[in-house]
Amino acid sequence: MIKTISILVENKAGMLVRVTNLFSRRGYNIESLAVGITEKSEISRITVIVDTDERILDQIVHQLMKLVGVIKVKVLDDDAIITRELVLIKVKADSTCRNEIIQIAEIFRARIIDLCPDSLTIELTGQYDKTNALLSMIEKFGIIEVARTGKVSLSRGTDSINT
Amino acid sequence: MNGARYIVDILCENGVDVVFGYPGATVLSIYDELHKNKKRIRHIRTAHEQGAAHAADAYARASGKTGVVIATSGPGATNLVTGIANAYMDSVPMVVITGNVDQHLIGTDSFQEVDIVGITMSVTKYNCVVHSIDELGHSLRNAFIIAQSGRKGPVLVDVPRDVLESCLSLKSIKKMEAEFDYYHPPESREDCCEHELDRAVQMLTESRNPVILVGGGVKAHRTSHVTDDIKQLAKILDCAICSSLMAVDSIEYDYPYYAGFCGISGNEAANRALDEADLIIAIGTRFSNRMIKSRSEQEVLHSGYTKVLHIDRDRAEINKVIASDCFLVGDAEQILPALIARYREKMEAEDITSGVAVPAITYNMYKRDEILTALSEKVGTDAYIVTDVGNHQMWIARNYPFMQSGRFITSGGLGTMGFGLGAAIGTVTHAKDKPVVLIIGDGGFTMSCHELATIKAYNLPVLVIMVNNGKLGMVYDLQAQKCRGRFSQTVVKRKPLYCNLARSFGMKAYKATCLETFNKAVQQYMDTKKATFIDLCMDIYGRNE
Repeated sequence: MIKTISILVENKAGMLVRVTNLFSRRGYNIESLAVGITEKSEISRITVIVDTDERILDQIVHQLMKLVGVIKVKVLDDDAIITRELVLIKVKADSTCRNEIIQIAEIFRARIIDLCPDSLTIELTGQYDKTNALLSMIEKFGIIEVARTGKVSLSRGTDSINT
Repeated sequence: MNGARYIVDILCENGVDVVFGYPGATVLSIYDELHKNKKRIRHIRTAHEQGAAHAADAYARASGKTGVVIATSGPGATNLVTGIANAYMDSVPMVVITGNVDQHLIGTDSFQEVDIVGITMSVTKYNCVVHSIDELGHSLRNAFIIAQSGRKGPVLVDVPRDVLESCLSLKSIKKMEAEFDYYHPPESREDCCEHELDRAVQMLTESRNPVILVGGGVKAHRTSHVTDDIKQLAKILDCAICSSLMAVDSIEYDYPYYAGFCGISGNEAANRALDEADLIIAIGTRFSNRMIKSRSEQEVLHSGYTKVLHIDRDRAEINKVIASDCFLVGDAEQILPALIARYREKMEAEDITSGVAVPAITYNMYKRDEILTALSEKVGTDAYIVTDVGNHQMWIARNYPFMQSGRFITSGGLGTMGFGLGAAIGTVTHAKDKPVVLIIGDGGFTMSCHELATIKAYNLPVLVIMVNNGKLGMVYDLQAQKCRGRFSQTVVKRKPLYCNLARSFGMKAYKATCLETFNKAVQQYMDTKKATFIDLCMDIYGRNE
């Protein structure tokens, strides 16, 4: 099962290594990982997506809790979660196909953020499926490179990791 | 005041009166301060940093205090790694201080530079680099708190040379002390046992054949409250107590409910009790794969016949290896009295009398061992028994008549051959006038015999009994089973003259080939209380159960 874990950590050098080291040391697989500071500059949020079973998920949470510098760990409820990922896609585009690509991008509500005679770069924010769908649509034009941020998630409503 | 002096002050503040280590270029200033502060802190210089780490580890096991070890950057630091991992596996509180190169050299592959924080991340409870003198107080003070809090463990503090040598004003020391932010152990966030107690009591009443399984965690407190409660629980439930290797000495060997230690090399009675139980009450144990004797036993545990009630202060140990049917997270010192009280309430309410004065069946199947009985009679119940790793260790764990908790010093989780001599040095540093006996195989002895130099240098009254069978016994036995008797690299063909070696380090050395010569040698040690070496060439392994 795919699960999203939100981890609040002290915003200090080496914290990300401690968290990822724990995953590799114990043999837990990371599907996606994103990190950034929170509303408080001294705290960072790490969002980890894992594909695992109940027992290992429980282990991951409690092993993480033991790390010095980890403040809070929460497995987000799949039914009440918003998840987004930002993707930059550089695709081959000359004048013959440029308009078609732009049309596709518009349908996906993606933005064109860079344009040059032979290529353009699309910025897309969305869920995993949407990104994959867009990628498959424009694959035929020739994708030059892709950069993805990894997924970030929050729970819906007024609920927060702190409640 | 410089950083090095501040370290010495913080060590004293934390009650440290002895440290182990080895000097080097980056920790020059620490050693200078240790020299100036000889009266406040005793320093034991071992022959090798690994020995120092094992010594600090064993000192902590014997004393309950935090062991402290100091080493220089690069090879000094990497030599500690086995010792740190050993302490981590057995949850031993230790503070490791390593020097590192100047900060402007870090990351440039400079001389004797390693990323020791990166290297030891997965074998420490916490580790850090001190980037500025203003962080030193905070980092080192918290290292002591983290090492001793919750489930104990080693903490490494890496201090670059320039930080050690930078100056501190009195004002900044005051500021550091005022702003000190105590580390709060995460375990305290989840002491959730209260509502689970009723379920646990229910399991106790439903079980027809429970067994208590105690692990190293029950020795974390230096008081006897936990073991007293465990004994009481065994009486109430009329059930056997088994232990893990780490907790062999937690219950007196002759206690009628005590069946010994379980696992691949454990006592038969303990393994049988565990096999037959329909409820395992596990206290402070992490179900090591050496303790869960065989695959089939694991399957039994998963089949649903045997229920597991797991009590541990580390929530992450719950359901890690063995799925439990009920768990209580917290300190056994609080949980056990609550559990016993509630169980009694329930039994009284239902008008069932519980508790027996003598066990219904014979749980204790302790078999006397001639040599170990003789040894224990000579050295007394006060003696510390240190072992290395291998068959001799299992022999001691099965057959030594331990009478006091905390008297068995052994490497459990990591199974570190070469632990023994360093560990004996650490133990004797704490034991003062009490006898310290190291039982070590010829393999482990050869691996670490340079530490005889430390025994000589500090005139440490250790009795070293080297069990000499000219084999790496445990692996030899494995080869006998699994390699059809192809004994690859496990037989020592040309033996050194061990007694001569020991004598060259100023020890009294005896070769024992029969019980009489053995007894005589032990008596010599007890009479003189001088470092003594016994080369024990007897067939001890034929005597086991």
